[in-house]
Amino acid sequence: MLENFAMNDFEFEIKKLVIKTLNLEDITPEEIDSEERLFVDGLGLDSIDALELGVAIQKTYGIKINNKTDDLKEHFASVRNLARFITSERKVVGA
Amino acid sequence: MFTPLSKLLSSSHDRETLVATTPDGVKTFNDLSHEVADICVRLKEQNIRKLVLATTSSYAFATGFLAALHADCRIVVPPNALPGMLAHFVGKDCPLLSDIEGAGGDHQILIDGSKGAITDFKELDPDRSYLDFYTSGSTGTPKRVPKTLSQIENELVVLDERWGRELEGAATLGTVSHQHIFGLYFKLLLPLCEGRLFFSQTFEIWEELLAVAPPAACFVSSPAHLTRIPPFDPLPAEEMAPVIFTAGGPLPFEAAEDARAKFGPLPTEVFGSTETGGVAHRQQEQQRTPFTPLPGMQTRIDAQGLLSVKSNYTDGKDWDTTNDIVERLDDGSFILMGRANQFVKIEGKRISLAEVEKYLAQSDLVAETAVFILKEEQETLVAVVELSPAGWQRHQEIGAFRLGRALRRDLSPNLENAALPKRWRFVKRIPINAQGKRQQPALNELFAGPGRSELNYPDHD
Repeated sequence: MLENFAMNDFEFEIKKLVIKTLNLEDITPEEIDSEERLFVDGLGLDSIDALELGVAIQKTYGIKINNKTDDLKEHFASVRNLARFITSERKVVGA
Repeated sequence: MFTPLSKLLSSSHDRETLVATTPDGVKTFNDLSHEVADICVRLKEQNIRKLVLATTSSYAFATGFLAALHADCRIVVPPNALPGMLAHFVGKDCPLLSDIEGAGGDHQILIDGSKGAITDFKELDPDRSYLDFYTSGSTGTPKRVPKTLSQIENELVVLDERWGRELEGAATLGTVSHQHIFGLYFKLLLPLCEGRLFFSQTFEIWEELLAVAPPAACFVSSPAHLTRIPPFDPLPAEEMAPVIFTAGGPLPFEAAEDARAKFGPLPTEVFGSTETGGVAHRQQEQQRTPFTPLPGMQTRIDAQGLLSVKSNYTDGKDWDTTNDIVERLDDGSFILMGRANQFVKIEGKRISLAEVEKYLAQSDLVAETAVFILKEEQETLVAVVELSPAGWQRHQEIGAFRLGRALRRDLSPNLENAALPKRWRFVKRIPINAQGKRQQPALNELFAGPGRSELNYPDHD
């Protein structure tokens, strides 16, 4: 349960990062569902947003998105996927 | 070795030369010839004289391009393959040649990689092979820019003369589409003529591009991507890119430095347009490094500083006036000062505000719109929208942010990403003065504050 709680916190932090990085207006972190699709349908972000979000995540969390990473699209599909992905990458680099 | 397009299939080309990397594997010149032959036969059987060429794969475009010319078809090249764009052009007398299944409805010839028996391909007559390119027009309908194959060939000779040596043996990967003339020439036709490998994919993110890029590959990109390079480690010295090409809009000095630090060279900015072709180039050693005209390109300015250019690939080999104001130096080089007309550029894409407003007004949710550029740190495309009663209903249900996103989605079959407004304001009345003219200062003022959501929630940092 404690782990779930920490994960929800982290997801909230990522929602704030998405809003701040992309200068989204008229939306709060609470209004983003952790499981909704970030791109195209769902939140409706576009390919330029994807580029900016990728840069921000790597800078903020000090992780390197491995060039050979498969399923990058899947990792970026929702806030929940992103949270899992960043958490596992941070364990790898030992941060 | 450089082979002109008109002689590519008729010449004694090494059949094992690698042409392109595709999801179906690496294609050789032999594969290319057989695939062109198949499409060519189908075009002739159906007696097609004119077609629209729009593809996802750059390799599919190459096969369609050569097949259409060898079948004596006029080629229409739309700036993208969006359904709304294709609907402008595709019809009974002008079918779609594409690798996108179903995109042309009843009027489509599918590029599916089938192979035909090779016939004797005759050398093309470059002066009698015709293409129509299209760009955003000021009135909201695409503007036609006709070209002969000889204009294209003449430009490719110039590009080879200028960069052929530096690019020798380099594979090419692009983040830009081949439906635009810059991508078409630099990521597809130039490698094809020079016998260099190109990647069929248009890469949206750098990680995917670098994952497959061979060492010392050439990148064909744009300011949109070069301003957003993730914090990579620099490429090892022996893997650095020989040349990075970029076009479409000004590249910020810091982005040029960042690309040099990570990929090797300062990006080569190519200045030009669909109408004029490539005009000049520079590597931004300093912010005021002028653009040097390409070999054979003449430049002159009028009293206002409006640039005209002339070469053996401008329309009629004559002077063509651009929309750009420049400061011209004695040696013919120049510094860009700004644009002269109603077109705006976002993320390097030429956008017609009238066109965005036209499509936006087609929504049931919208009564009136004002779409314009807001000059912030970056230039941002924004929309002020007077909603219909149905629109206000939606506004209440899903909120302002999601309404803006929904309207972007409605626009997306007709407009490219760069032409979708980034910031939205929904108002009871678009501010106009007594003469019915829009009040631009009042419109700008609507965007002065931060979004309301930012005011409403406390920052946890």
